[in-house]
Amino acid sequence: MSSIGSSLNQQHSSAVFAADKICWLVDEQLILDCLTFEIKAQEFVGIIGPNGAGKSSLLRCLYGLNEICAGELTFQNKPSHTYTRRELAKQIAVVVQEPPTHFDMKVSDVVAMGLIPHKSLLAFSSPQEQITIDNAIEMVELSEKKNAAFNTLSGGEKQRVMVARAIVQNPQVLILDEPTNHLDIQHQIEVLQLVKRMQVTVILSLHDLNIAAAFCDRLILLDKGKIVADGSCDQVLTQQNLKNIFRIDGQIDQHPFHSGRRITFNFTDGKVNEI
Amino acid sequence: MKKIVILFIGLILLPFCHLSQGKDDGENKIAQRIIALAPHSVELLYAIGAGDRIVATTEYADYPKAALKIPRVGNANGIQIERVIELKPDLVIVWQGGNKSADIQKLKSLGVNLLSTQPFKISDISKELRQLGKLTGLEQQANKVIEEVEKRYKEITNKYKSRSKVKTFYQLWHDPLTSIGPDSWLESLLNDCNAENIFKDAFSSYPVVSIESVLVKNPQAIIIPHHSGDNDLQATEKTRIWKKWSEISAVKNGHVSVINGDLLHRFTPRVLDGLQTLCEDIDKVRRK
Amino acid sequence: MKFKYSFITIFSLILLIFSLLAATVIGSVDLTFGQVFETLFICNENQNSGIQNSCSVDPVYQKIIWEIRLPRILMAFLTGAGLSITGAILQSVTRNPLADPYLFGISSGAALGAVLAISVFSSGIISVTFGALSGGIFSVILMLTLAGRAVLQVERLLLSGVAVSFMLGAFTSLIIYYSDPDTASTLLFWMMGSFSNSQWQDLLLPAISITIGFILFLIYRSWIGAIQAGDEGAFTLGIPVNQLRLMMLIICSVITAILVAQVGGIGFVGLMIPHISRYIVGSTLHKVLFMCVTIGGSFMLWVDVVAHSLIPDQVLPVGIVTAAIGSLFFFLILKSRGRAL
Repeated sequence: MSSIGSSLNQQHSSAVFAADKICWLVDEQLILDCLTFEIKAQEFVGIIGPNGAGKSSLLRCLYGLNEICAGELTFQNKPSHTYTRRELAKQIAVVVQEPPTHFDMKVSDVVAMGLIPHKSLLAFSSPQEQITIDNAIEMVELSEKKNAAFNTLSGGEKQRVMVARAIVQNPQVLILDEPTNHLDIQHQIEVLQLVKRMQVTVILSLHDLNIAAAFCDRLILLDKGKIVADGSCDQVLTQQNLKNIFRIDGQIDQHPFHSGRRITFNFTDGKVNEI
Repeated sequence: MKKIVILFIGLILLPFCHLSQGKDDGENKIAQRIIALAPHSVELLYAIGAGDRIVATTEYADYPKAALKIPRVGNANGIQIERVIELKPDLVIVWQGGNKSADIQKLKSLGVNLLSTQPFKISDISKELRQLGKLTGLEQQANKVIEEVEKRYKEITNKYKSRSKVKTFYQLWHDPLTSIGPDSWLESLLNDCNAENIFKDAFSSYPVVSIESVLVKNPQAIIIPHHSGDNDLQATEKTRIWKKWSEISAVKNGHVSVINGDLLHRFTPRVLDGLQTLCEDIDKVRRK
Repeated sequence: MKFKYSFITIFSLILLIFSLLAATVIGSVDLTFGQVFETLFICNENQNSGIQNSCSVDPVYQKIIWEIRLPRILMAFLTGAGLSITGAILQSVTRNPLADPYLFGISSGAALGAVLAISVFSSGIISVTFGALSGGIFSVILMLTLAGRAVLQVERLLLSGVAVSFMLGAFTSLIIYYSDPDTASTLLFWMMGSFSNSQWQDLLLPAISITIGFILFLIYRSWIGAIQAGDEGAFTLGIPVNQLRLMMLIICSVITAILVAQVGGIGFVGLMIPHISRYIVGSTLHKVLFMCVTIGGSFMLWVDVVAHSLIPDQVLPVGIVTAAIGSLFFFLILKSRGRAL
């Protein structure tokens, strides 16, 4: 199995994902309205926006769970819908929002699932596979819980197991849907650092704007199904956008410890200031 | 406190007062409107000449022919209590083994004049006839029938009393394989023919048995009753099982007989016809 | 999970073999292991051949073993194994620990088919088994149709199954109500399950379907395991979730319908044996399936033994015995563990 860092097998300038006016509706309601954007190889892209903006829906369009109703979406220069699910699975790994509940498989078995897109049904397991699995588990720092049942883990540990599974899948694109929800601050940072080290294209949705500013090369700001801003963190995280989209007052300045921005929220008497 | 306890006990015992009324009703009235909830009771009433007094009965009351015209107020699934009450009977004959006990209780609690019937052997028929004779005021006719029945019964049983016992398997039904146990009407018939029911030590009166146990007990005769209600499939299935078990004495020697079940399964004078055929069939084993 | 897996596997296999032997020996006639062994391996089947052999077993006993006991216990084994693996797969694929083979009203459909075969098509054109099989398959088709386009949503599927179960059960009860007492007693006893009338040719269809099903389950075990972790996650691994689920449902339905058609409705086994298996070996699917075969098969064999020997000379319906033993088992397990199954 090749190592975690993926080799660039696409041309440097071509996009991994290219979306041209894509739309998605459900029950006659337009959730995503005419989105156009590009994601380049090895970019670390954050999708941000208020609740209901359509972040998860957009991610689902990218990995094929949602079928777009208009526009064109290409993955590595081929229209998305021409790929089979399995072909997509070999290249795109997804860490979904909610890890499964009431699920008592062993941790290492869960991580082993990441190999499914690459294995035929009739193939037997090889020792090499076990090494890959163990490495991935070590990367998320859960080695001592290798044989524990999944449902005995904390929410954060479960999330890290799912990340390990994604690592084993050896993708070129990693999509994460609000991966930091259940994690404490230490693990939030650790998981994102780990993901960043993987040197794959990363697309993730986030709520925490400071974390987004610290890790993302680029941000796409969604509101009510439309792209409001698309660019570097500096370009997207403006006081204007904070006020208009997030409806909150804040101050944006240079972060004291890293090269990105820092956002400080302003609310007095525990009440959000009226805009 | 004492009064309450006595009252409470009295209330609990109240329903049981009716039970004893079952066989011997306190009223000496002659019954003119009778509802007979058992086919055999219908037959018996006709036998003593009280057939025209029956105002309602249940399904399966098909003998004599005139009985087919009597309105039906129930079947194996239950009695239409309301209709029974509506018809204002002097006497309702209930069948412990054939009517639902819930229905019987209901009738009891409504204060209906009940007579309970549950014959276990042929000699019970005489008892029933006597009771019905008394209740309908037709004692003379009843005694005549009783005399005939007892005479013929003695004739049949005396013939075989001193002969050897024949081990017999009575196949009540084939699917599931059901036979008869102790204290059943049918076993008493077998005993009358001086046959030994191979399942006479079973736990229940109608045990579901395995082919294996029949094999092991190796009966000399197998009796299979045929009913007019059987469909074609059931008729052939009944005997098919035994064809391949020639290890059984009865099969090997050709003593698997199909007889008229309708006659045997009814507690009336007609059973004597069935009894005669049954005993003759069983006797074939002795004569071999 | 406290013991080594290989130790457990061997132990369960030994248990199965022991159960098979015990079931052959115990019955209305109590035979010895020696007689059974002789009959199976030494005695000539063809007793009239005139060839002298060293067979000391009474021909009647030989016939009992070959014609009555062996088909019966093999049917019991197949039923126990088949219902258990079906239950295990259904529980995994619907992510519902309360799923069992009768999820889709198959038992009700089969009962309806059996009832119709006996009481309506009474001239014997349609055998009870064929009627029950048609009824079982009909109930699956009905359930899929009722679920409609949403057939691929698990919840909709389960609800549809419950609806079909009740509906067909009502029709069955209605027909029984209007049948004569003999037919009614036949049907009621049938519905409660029995291995008594099993013959060698009856074993063919169950054996084939269970073997094919088992092989398919093993082939797709990694995918089925992934579905247990969530539909969306499985989707992202490239698994055709809906098609796989549907395929598994159909395979399970076919196996169940075939079994119910032969032996009637036997409950508890498909629900509890998978849970017991998981308790012993964990959630890895191929381990669970193997344990279901051995434990499910053994359990059913003992149930059959009890049904035939609890009351001397009499036979109890198998379904009653499974329910009695099963509920006791379930109760004990719940007490000994703290957490919910």
